[in-house]
Amino acid sequence: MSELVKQKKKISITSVRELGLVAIILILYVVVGLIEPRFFSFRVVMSIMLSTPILIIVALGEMTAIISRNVEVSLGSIMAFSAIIGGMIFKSNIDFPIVVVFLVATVVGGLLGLLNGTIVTLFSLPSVIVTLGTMNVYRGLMFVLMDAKQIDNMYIPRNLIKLAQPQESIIGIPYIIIISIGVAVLVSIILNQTKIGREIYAVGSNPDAARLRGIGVNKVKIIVFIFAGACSGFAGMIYMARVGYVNPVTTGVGMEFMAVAAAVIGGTSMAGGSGKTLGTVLGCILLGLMMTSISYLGIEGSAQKAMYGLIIIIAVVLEKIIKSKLGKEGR
Amino acid sequence: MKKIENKSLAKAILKPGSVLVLFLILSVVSGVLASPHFLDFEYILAAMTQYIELGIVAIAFTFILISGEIDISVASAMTLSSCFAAILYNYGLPMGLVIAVTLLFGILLGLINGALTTFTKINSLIITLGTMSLYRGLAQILIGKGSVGDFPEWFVGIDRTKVFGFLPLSIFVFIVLIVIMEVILKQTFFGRKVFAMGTNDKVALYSGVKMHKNKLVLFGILGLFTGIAGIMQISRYGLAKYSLGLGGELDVITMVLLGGTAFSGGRGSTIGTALAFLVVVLIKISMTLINMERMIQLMIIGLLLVVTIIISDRLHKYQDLNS
Repeated sequence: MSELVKQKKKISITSVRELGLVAIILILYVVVGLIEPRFFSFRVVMSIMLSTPILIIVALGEMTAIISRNVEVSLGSIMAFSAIIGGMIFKSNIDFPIVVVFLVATVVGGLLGLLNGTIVTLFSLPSVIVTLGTMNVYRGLMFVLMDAKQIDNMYIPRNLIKLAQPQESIIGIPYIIIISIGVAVLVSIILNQTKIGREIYAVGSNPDAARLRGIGVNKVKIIVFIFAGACSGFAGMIYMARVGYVNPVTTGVGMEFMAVAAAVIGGTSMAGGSGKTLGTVLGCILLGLMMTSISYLGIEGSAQKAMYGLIIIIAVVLEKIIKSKLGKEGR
Repeated sequence: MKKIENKSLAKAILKPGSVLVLFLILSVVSGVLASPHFLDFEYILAAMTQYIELGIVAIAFTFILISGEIDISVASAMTLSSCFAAILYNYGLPMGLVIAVTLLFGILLGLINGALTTFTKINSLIITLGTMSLYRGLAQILIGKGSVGDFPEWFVGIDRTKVFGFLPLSIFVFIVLIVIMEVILKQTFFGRKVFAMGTNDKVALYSGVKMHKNKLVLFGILGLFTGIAGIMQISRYGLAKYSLGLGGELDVITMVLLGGTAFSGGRGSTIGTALAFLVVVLIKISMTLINMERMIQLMIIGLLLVVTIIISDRLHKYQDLNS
């Protein structure tokens, strides 16, 4: 009985967070709209929505890593690396089937993730330090690969660019938004309905207990790294569609921090073991709204970086305070 | 009999410190191969001054890592201190006062990290991941895209001022700080507490080490060092920009780990860090001598970090097995 009550309480707490996020997003939108009336238009809503798909896909990969008690800071580099590979294929033959290139970029991302995961598990090293190293290794590699040049807009097929344009979609919503929602649904199903999903949560909440229960902890971790990398590789193609070029020096820089921020805002615990797809998606939308608001209100872009940092800190500290308060009540 | 000899030989060679010696030799050899100018003593000293701020941060970083914590916001904190000092001076404060206030400001930045970590018991890695972005962003808000300079003449050029006729002042400061910190680490009660905190925090707690207070002090010391480094940085460049020392935390972590400090805490020395600083600088000199692109240099350092942490982790485990 008491357990039932506890469980009910738990459910209400988590949905409170998501409802809270929706409320914050709506309030922020209305407040910014009252200051700057141009904000209340379909065009602005569309540009907010268009600013999120890349982040959503990377952040879902990052969330999966954080759930398993790892932090992946090379995801921005992996995204750029995969986009560069995709761009190089288009550069050699612009009529190459786009679906195949999507597949190639996803596989490249997965392989880079596999390399991270192998180093982390084989030598049982902290993932942040390893990926801090590989973040620079991957970026340097693509710099060498591209000889310091970028993939220009002219090499990117129109059909790929069309994925990000509202007027090209039959239902009025750009395809990349639909694709990102599809990815989110897929991630949610994998995490909640499959065996590997449950194992990821188990490894994150208590690795020793997971091992005793017969879960191959290292195997799960490697799968998580491959998954996070593959998500980022896939996001690289979305980046190419949305932004229209790929630059080995600037593309995806800082993406990993935005992804961590989005996941943490969405309620993913840095201690591992908990995190929800819907929360992370809402976190991404909030960040996208903030970025759009900043440019509409004429605030300098320089404040952005400070904001991400502040958001991460406030989110983790609040999480901790709320948890310890609840813990005391429970006893 | 022979087997035992082999084993003791292996024991003698397979020490965590051996990686450092190996890399030192490798870096000198690669440097000599890269350019005949490499072994010019004055040139090496001049090159060292270009990275000396990171070396200074690495000394205090060694303490933090030994105590079982980490701070990846150091490069951002260093540059925020630089920008803070530049803004203060341009408000009309005398430079001497600016330096004093900036050092206090540096301590404050460190204490913010320390307080957030100890009082909320959140992993310092996560907290400093946030402050890394926050401090760099604040520097960007303070200075904007341009640069702020026009410092008094006596202040600019700490790397060109010579002590004893040959030693750049910044390297002299570095050496003095190493000696002070090594003595504190190895000869004082406080130093033993630092090791105790990193070896086993519960045991340290039960044997009367005030964890909160000591960790705060450690983060404060690291903050002071980032403040010193921030001041030295603008003295060397003659101006402050928000982008100075970008990615410097990678160099600092590489130096400290290469110097034999264990990532999991409880082991390490500032002398090791100082030698590792030398290795990293020598590698950077050779890369610059052959005109390697900055991005590729970053890649090599990233690779060095991964290789170092793998090898030293293996060697620490080997040593534990055999002792």
